[in-house]
Amino acid sequence: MYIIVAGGGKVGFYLTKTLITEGYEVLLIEKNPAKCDIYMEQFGAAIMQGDSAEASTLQEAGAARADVVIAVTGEDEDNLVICQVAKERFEVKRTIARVNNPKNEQMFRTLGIDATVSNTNVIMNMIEQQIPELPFVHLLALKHEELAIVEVKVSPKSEVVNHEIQHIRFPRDVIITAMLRRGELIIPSGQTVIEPGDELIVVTRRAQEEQLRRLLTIDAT
Amino acid sequence: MRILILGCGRLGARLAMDASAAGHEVAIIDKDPRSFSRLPGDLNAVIVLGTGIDEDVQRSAGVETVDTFIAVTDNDNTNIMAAQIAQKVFHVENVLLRVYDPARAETYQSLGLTVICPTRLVADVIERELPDFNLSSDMTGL
Amino acid sequence: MYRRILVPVHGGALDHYAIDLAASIADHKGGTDLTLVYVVEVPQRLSLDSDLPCEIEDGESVLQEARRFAESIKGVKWRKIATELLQARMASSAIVDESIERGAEAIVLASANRRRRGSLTQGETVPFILDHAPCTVMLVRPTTLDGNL
Repeated sequence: MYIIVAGGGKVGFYLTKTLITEGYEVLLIEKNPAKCDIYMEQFGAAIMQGDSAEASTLQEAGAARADVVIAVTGEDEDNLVICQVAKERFEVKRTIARVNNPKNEQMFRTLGIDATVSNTNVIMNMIEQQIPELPFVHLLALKHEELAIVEVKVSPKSEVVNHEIQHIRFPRDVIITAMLRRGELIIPSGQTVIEPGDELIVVTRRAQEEQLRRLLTIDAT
Repeated sequence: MRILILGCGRLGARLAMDASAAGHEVAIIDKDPRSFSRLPGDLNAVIVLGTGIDEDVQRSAGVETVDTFIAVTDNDNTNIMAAQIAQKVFHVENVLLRVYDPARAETYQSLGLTVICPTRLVADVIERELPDFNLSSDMTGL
Repeated sequence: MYRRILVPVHGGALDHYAIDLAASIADHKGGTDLTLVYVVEVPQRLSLDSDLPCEIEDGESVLQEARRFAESIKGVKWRKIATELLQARMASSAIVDESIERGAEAIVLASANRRRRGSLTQGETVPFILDHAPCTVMLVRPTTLDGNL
């Protein structure tokens, strides 16, 4: 499987590193030549300098034979255009865009992007869900319009702070799949105590999204 | 006519002034407050500070009731995304956008947007002014 | 004196400079194993294992020519001349990897000044090899640019 990663920020860098370790053929495209020189030391031929939104760059990168194009720059408009150009001009089967502004998630789907993500781990899962023998397949349900993955940062003043997950009254149909605490990945259990600033990755029904956000981000008082 | 312009650079400001002088209702969006200094103080237009690729910003500029949306920031991708929001989400009747990169212009033209590519336009004019310029393609045309 | 030398070749008169230099540092008593390497660089738009019959054919003939030239040098004792045709994304890292695999004591290569985007450069291959090869590296940059250079 050949994967093109567009955008060599932190997400792009670590994603590329992980994908190479997993044994995929990967190419990271980064605009900034100085950054490319640094990455070249680590990735060798798996790095290319260029503007991924330009058709000529994608052509040189071999987009026509790519199975997946993942756009993870810091700009939503760039990620959208990279994915659309990959799809329209090079008929890339699967395009994944990083969404920096969560409001754009729905928008990107409307505009034909196959999947949107806001977190490296979730991107990994989406790639892996293509391989049938892995047990991650449930993420396919994401295609269902009612479902959403949301990333929420817990406000220090939220009522859930310092409570075990099992004792928090979440809205119905909400699952906390993972959390990031000071950059560490935690797979939570019922006994996990929520700390202020934890970033929760939650699978939920879209209808519950707003209620969930309110619970986690709004001042309890 | 109601016109929403995204990008208050030289072109956006020019269009806003012309449209307003012609008696149209004008709104203009830009993310940089300094860019509005290009507009005359007495211009009758709705001015909105914000990024054009945000639905809510477009909404507050009245996108739901405009007939025409024109995206002319200096960033191709911003114009492309903003134009698609206006077209696909708000169903604006006329959506025009500027795209400098000819390849991208072609891609989005084929997706049903009205794309204006200055690079292509200027190249065409220059090539028309220089009759010998296109010799090779003329010859292949024979 | 070096007993295992690797010489990257890519066709043309420069190859002779490199092979000549290799011969002059070879072990004249015990003999030297010479490995001639040609790398077919596969562009990213193609998969690494693509069939590239023309490039492979070119490479084979360059290697044969280089071997003939090496054999024609008088007074040098080649214990063995091996030719290796590699298909890789980057010639530089393929050459370094090959030198490690073969336990080469020296890599000898020739290069010419080139201009790219207006400025003078040795390309990417030479600096990478200088930076990464675990053995001695010798570089010839001839003054006379003759032949098809």
